[in-house]
Amino acid sequence: MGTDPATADAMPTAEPADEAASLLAALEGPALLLEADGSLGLVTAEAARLLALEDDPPAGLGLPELLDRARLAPAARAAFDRLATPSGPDEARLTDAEGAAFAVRRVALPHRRLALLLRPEVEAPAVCPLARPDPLTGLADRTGFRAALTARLADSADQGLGLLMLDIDRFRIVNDTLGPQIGDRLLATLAARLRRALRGSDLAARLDGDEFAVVVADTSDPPELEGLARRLMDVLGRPYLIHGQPVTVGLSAGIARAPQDGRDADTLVRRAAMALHAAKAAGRGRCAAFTPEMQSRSETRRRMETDLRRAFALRQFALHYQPQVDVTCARLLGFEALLRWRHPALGPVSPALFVPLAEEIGLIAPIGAWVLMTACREAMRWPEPLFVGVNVSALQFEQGDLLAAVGEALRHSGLPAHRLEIEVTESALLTNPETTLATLGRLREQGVRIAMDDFGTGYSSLTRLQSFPFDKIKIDRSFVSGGRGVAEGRAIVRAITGLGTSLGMRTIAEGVETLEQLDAVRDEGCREVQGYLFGRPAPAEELDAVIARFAPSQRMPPCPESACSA
Amino acid sequence: MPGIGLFRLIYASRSRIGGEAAALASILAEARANTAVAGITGVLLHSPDGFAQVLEGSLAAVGATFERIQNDPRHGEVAVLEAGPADARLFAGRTMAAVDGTAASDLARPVAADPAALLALLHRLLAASSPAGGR
Repeated sequence: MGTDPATADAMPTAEPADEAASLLAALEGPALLLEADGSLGLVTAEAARLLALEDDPPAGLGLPELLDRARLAPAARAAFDRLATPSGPDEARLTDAEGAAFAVRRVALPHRRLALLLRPEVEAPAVCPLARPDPLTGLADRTGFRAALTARLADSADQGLGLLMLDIDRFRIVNDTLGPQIGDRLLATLAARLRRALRGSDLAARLDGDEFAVVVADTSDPPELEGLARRLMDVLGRPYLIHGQPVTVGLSAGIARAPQDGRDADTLVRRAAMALHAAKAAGRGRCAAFTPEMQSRSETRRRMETDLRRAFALRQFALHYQPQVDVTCARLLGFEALLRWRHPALGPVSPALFVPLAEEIGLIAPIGAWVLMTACREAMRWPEPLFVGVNVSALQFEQGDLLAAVGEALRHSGLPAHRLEIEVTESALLTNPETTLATLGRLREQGVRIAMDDFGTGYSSLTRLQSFPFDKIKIDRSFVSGGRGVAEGRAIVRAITGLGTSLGMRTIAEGVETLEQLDAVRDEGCREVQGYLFGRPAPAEELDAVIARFAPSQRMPPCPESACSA
Repeated sequence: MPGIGLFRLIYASRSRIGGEAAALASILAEARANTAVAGITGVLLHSPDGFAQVLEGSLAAVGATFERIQNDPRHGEVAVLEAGPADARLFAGRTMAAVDGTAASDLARPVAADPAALLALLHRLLAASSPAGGR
């Protein structure tokens, strides 16, 4: 093609950028471009479809030959010919061989070229109620979508239909990092791609934020729906150029089918949303079709949610306390408070299950405040200078007023601030570093001690330790148990301990269960430990026995003051 | 000519039409028509595996053209290799020239392509495809 004389055309005379852009916009969708000599310069794929051309017409074909190949009513053919003449009318309304109406408009281009723009007649609003389109994207909004889906479900009893729900993975990050203007522009462009990728009989809507839905007419065939979902994820996931800046996003999709998965709009939307949720949970960038198991899982979850709310209302939670010990002199330093929930029917539920759920339903801040209050009150019963360690979730920094909750717990219990230790995970520091570090700084000013929990897991970064004067680093249990290799584990314990020493932070090894593990972490320089070897988490009423067990005894060497003072 | 507000975008993508000649011919024809209308210069490299294209023109025109290209189902796995303001047109005086890179390039993994190497390749192929500089 490179030697084709056509490629060596002189540049067209400069056109203002806006004009060029509007020309291109005009050539969006079904359009024909006629060269000055009347030959066809371009037939867009949409035009070929509208004119029911069997295959792509070769370039350079004349308009009459093209119309010979198109399936058009004879009257339409004549009107088309007239439109191609610059002196004739510049607009006509035609029907194709099937009787479907479309409008053709002629637009003059520079260099005596012409564009014929084909526009299918818009369906009557009664068929497709888009009463209130979403102003940003021009798609139907949630209300219009629900009405249209209900109408279509009533009409499509025989063939069934498909419902796709799509959303942008981590759209919030786009908005947060590039600004809402770029975010909005992205949503609008994405919506335009969505519209172009669909047939006229499909209906697209913007349900909410970055969530879109498509009603796929006339098919509930799973492979077909999945194929469409993948095609949409591909096209919508290609890079965008927004204000000259490339932006790429990923999408997840959920599929529900009528009548198999539901016969009314609400059920169908709920089930597509469930499938979408499953796709996102499986790792994003995926597409999932609704299955009955999703329904039962979601019911279990909903039940659990209700139970969790009730458990909080009735204070069915309990705190258990696990000792932390200075192993150089077998001295008890304090306890970490651990949240427990005994479900009336299911028995003990793992915090790994219910804490994320509590975070999701906005219950973590009130639960966290209760934990602080209870732990501080309990710690007041212990002899000085035993402290209590309390875990806080990342969301407590965002959703709840952690400073107020801590202040209240200290005031009500009378516990001195230095006997409270707040444990934060690295992920909490990642979510919103500025706010989190500022809050931790205020707490520390009041005398509360701050520990970095589960260090060495997740997005560990040594620089994170420099971002804040932690009082203590808790070395994750996986390095102690040998789960990551005994030698590697020891090396990491040694490294963290050394780092702690040079930064002036104490280090504690978690999950010490055997004497061998104790010897290992002690040999690597770690002085404090927590684990089954020194005591399992126990309810408050059993702590007196634990405290008594650690009471100074003649058999132990005296504890050097400098070694044990926190 | 140093263009005020001149913008250049280079992308690479994987072909979804295989080596089908008719489909390729219509892609090339559309590319030429669309970019000529918009005052865009550049070059389109194609092989059975994929495409790589340089678009240079006003930001509005390049943006609209790129967005049109992104809607095209005949390719996929689009990667933007370069996007930004440019001092001058690299392909001034050429409407969208098409270059067959089947023999010369490895577009099998277009996403991994390096923009500088790709540009050099495009220039080399463009020169080779115009014997004795003839048009």
